[in-house]
Amino acid sequence: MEAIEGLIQGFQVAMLAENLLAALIGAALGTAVGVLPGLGPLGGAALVLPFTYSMEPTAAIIMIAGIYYGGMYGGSTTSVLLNVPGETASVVTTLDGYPLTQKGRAGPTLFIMAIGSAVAAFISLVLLTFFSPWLARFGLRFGPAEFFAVMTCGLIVLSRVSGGSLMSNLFPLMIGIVAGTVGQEAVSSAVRFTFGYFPLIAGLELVALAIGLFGLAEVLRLVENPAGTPRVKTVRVRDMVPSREEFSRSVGPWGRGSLVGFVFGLLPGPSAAMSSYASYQLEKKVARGRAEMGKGAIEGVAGPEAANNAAATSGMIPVLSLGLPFSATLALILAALMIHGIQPGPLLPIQHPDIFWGVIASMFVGNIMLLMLNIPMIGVWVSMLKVPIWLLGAIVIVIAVVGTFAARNNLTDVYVLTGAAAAGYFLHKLGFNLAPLILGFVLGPEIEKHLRQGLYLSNGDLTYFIERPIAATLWGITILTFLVVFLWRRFFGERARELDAIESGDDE
Amino acid sequence: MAADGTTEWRTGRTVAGVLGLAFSGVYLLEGRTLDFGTMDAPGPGIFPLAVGILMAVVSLGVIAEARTTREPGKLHLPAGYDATRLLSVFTALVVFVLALSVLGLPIAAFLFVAFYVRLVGRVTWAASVLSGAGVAIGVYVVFEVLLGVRLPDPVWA
Repeated sequence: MEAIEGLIQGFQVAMLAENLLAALIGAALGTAVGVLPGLGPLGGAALVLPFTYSMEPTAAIIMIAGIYYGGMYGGSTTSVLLNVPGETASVVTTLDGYPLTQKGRAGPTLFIMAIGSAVAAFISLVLLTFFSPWLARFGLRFGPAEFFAVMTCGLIVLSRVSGGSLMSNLFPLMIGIVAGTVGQEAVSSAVRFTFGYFPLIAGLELVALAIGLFGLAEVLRLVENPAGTPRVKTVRVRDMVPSREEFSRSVGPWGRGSLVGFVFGLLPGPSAAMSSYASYQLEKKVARGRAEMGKGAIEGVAGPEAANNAAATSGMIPVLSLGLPFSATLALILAALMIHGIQPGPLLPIQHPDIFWGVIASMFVGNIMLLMLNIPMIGVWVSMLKVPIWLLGAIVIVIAVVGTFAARNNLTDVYVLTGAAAAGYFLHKLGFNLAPLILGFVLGPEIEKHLRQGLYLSNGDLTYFIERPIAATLWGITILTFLVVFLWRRFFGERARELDAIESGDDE
Repeated sequence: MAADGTTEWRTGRTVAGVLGLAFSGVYLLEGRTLDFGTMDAPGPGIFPLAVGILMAVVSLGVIAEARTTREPGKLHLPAGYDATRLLSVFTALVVFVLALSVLGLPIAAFLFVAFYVRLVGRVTWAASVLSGAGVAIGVYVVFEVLLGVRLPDPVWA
């Protein structure tokens, strides 16, 4: 019952004018960054982060979350219209989305996607309502050992299941953790690793790293390989209504995709990309139009789109209730919470029910807005694709500089931004995944905090970290995951590589 | 060896690993002065020590993988004019960022955007000056005037 009360309270919070506005702006900006090349949802969310510092925490998180799912929707729009996935979760959408466009069904496909996203957000919301009291009780048993285990194991598993080789994930992860130790340390205020350069005392700025690694590095790649401005056909609103058949064929995939996505969002890994892939595989086996899959079956779009949206919603659960983000964008949301002085964790639903339930409810409200934004205004988004890429690149760079400076009014952050852009360019060229770098940067200080608290509590006994039941289970699962992935790669090499190809994007 | 990019990938990854290893050395040296505390009252130096050692181990792993893996990736760095253009843009970015403290954002952005679109978009000088001015004024109006965001000031302000 308390969950349903919580949900009602959540809707009350989400329907407040300022929060509605935040969701609207977030969804609109998200769609824009998803549609446009050069800035994924992560770059977009990072750019907006400094401007949310002065907002109410709930509105700030709602806006950033809006960019997250709006960006996924926008990324899928270009998948369908141009065969160019805006971000990794949308790769699968090209498989059937683009053939549908070639058949002249672009409008209805976008419509089905938009409804599917809203349906998925709604289903996740319902599942979450049943799930959360249990989660809160579970979370209350967490102490430093459990937090240390959940974060460390989360990062380890993430490095193993993300695309690419183990080193492609671990190396950036370690760079991120190292970067997180720069500056004044929280407990004793000791100054670390400034190498005598005074401005580094405040530490490196997350916004500078995230925009540099993901936004500017992408612009540099556009400069290296300038693509022409794409030619897109106009999509008219009245052509968007799906046929009765298209609609009825999408209902099943929406439901199945939502369930798949919900589960994936709770697990460590690039959940949005993996859930859309898993949903696509599922539809290939069970969908009514499975014979057409790959040649323009509506199920191939409806399922994966619902899945990545459900994963976006349920991915908020580990962030809000354990302080554990599984993707770089979620790490930004975690950072935004902490900047506002809110400690995510099992106590969050109790101490700040407005934030916990408000953010979750806003994801449903935001998806309805996405529907309203995207159906009537599809022409606007499509025409954004006609902005010349060279002008866009210049604008992205200038706004990136403005946004980074705005975070702390500090020019050193802007210098870090430039360095991060160069580093991101080379690391990406060398096949390293960049998302673990951001996760390491955000979680590193948290891990240190729990490690030190744990040592203090246990009088320096290291076995404390593995003998508590939940912590022990987590370590066991981590070791098991390693074994399973090892065996999987050994015996299903080809399938694993196929999955790698889909996952090994770093934008999420 | 064929120029399929795998040799370059191995070299590039090795360089990355060596840089990582060198940095972890510097990092551990710098961290030596921090207080380690005791096991039951750990100080600020203990976590960096573990991180530095792990960083060194992972860097060695990167080098080992780069030299021995049977499934190397491919590295294609830009060549010819593509490389020149990329380097010019990056240099312009560095100059732009360094000029911020002297010229302030609007003027520096105007110069940077004009240069960028001229080089990348190959537009006429008139169009590039127009784009530069448009972006500079647009950013100034939206951020400083409408959103009240502080932009980097010129040295004379």
